[in-house]
Amino acid sequence: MAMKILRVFFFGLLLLQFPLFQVVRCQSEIEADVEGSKLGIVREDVQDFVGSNFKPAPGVETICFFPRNSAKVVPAGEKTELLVGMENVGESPLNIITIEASVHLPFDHRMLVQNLTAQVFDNASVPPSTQATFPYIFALSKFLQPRTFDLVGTVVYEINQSPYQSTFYNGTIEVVEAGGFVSVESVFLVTLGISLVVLLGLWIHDQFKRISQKTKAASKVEVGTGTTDASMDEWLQGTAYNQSSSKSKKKK
Amino acid sequence: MARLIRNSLMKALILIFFASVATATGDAPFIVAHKKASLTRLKSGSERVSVSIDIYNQGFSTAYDVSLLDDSWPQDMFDIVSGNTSRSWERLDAGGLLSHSFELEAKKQGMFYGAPAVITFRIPTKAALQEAYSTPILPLDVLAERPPEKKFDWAKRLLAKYGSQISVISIVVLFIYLILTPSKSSAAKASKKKR
Repeated sequence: MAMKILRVFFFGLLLLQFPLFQVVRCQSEIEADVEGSKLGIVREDVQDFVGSNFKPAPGVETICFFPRNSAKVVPAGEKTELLVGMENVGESPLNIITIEASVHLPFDHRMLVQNLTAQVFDNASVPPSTQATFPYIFALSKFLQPRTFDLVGTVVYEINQSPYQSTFYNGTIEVVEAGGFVSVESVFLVTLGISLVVLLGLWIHDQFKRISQKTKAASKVEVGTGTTDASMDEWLQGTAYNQSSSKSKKKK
Repeated sequence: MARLIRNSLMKALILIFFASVATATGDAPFIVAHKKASLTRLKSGSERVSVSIDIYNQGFSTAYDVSLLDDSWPQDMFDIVSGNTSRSWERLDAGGLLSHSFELEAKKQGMFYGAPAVITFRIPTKAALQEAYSTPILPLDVLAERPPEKKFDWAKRLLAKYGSQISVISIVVLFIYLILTPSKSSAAKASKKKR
């Protein structure tokens, strides 16, 4: 009875998986769409600047920093933040227009893996002789293979109405799979591994038993009932067999 | 003759070394400041803003007399609950991190657009006080009307987050249990036969 209930529960649990998986999928899709957030209202002419190439301005230094992430580990499908530091060594204020980035293969920069959403700024400026920091939040596609990729990040800004562009980062990032240690695949793999080891152990144990049985059997030889003297058996006393044998003895 | 040549070579090398050191780019501190603000709604209905500012020095030399001032929270909209909106430190070495946080209580409802915090510091090579700005914060919807959470929203969230892992572990454990426990019905049959 208990086994029946258990089996029903087991199959019921298996069937319950499908709606649960769907819930999880929906949530992650929504998250992947939010790849860059906007600060403020969008400028009208921002499309002229996105995707174009300008030269860097002299007197502007940029630095890229991954907060609390010195190994530059980026989980695929989850939001990652990096900080762009700008130093304006010149004499006129500069206005940040947009920060954009793209992911490439490390050995060939012409192979584009993913273009990341550009973050547009409306009212971000850096006064002369000051340093300022700007955040850039991005999320890589969760289907990216976990390996090193090259991230190229550029910031487009204008000084006195002329646009300039600086690359603040052109290096490698380490993409890893999002998700903890316990996942569907890892649990099944671990259980499979343990069961294989147990099976191997059982097989070795069997082999040992067989070998030990063979050596024992050599010393103990099974003999049938042929060599025992039937007349010596107690239970034949008083029976027809004994009387006939005693008669034959008397006759002799 | 050889000694003379060697001496002059050494002097030339020392000169070049000092010249390169003096003209080396990036020998100043580069302050990168990260400002984060998050809203927490208390059970009493009031809203708290937790502000944390991390200051990193990504340059190559030490910044002295680092002082942080965050004046972007007006008195008529926020009350300081704990901590101070300004703080100063003696120095920040290259590669180091300084952290400061404080809490505010929101008084007025509405969208709030915060300005960056200002960090001032001194460097040995320049007399003027150096300035750096932190990251701006995303607009905060202070004391927003939140729709009441439906009955089992928290359970649904937990299930969505951990559902797959819990079900996988329970399937595996059930399977192992099924294999290890002997079938009770067959044992009962065997004992009946013996009688």
